[in-house]
Amino acid sequence: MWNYEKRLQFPVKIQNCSPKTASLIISQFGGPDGELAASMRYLSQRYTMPRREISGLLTDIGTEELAHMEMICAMVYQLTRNMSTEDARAAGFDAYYIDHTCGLWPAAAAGIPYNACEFQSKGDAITDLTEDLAAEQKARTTYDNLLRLIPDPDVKAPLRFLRARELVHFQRFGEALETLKDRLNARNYYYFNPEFDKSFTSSP
Amino acid sequence: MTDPTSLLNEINAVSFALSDLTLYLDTHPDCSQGLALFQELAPRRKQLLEEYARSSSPLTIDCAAGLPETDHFSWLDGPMPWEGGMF
Repeated sequence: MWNYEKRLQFPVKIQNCSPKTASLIISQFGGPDGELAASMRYLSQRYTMPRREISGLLTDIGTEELAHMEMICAMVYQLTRNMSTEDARAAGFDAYYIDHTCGLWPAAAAGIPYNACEFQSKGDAITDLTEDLAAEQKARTTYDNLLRLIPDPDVKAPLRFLRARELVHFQRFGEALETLKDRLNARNYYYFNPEFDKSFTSSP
Repeated sequence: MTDPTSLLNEINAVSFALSDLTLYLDTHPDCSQGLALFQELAPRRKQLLEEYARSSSPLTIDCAAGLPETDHFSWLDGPMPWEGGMF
């Protein structure tokens, strides 16, 4: 189960209203490489992960991703809380406003709604960990793109923090994948699914 | 008494160190240096959270449970974290 802690992982305190910036950042809430997809990916994959230290890592990173989703939502909220309809129209935020007003709804920057097909839970430890490595890099690229486009320092500080976390998670998933490969059955040269084909799970 | 903002900043810093260390220990469970740091930071975080509950508002339900009994539910005190008023 989970308990809530009433603070953000890193402070978000944005002074200036900017629905334009909100419409870009929202991609890290409900977009293809966003934090909602990240948390659901890891928290779905962990059940069948054959090694306890790796299912533990998926639990801990998946939990941190929920905190990142909260930071992104806090940013979108603060960027739109004092928005007028004129601000929304000028920023191209009017289409979102029609359906959601200032409410938080998971979607990509281009307006595509969040979909579970953004991520995989394949039931194969090698496949899933390789996806996780790619996912961290895709999120890092998205943060790089946001940092290039957004000038506001109040917005950049939490984005830089989130970008740095993608690098750390990539590192940890890389270690997990190496651990898994080292402990596969010595006859499993071609990385047959160690979750399903139990004879390939571990060497003594 | 420490002012609430700097106390919260310290909670954030110690908590961040602990959660980053947790991920490290997940993949290096026998690292004695990492374990020693965990033993040092974990009680510090607990102490800071209790101090913040007493001086501002509880950040966890356990902190709320640790406060002296009153006729008001202290878990509802304090701003919500996304409001930006905590820092």
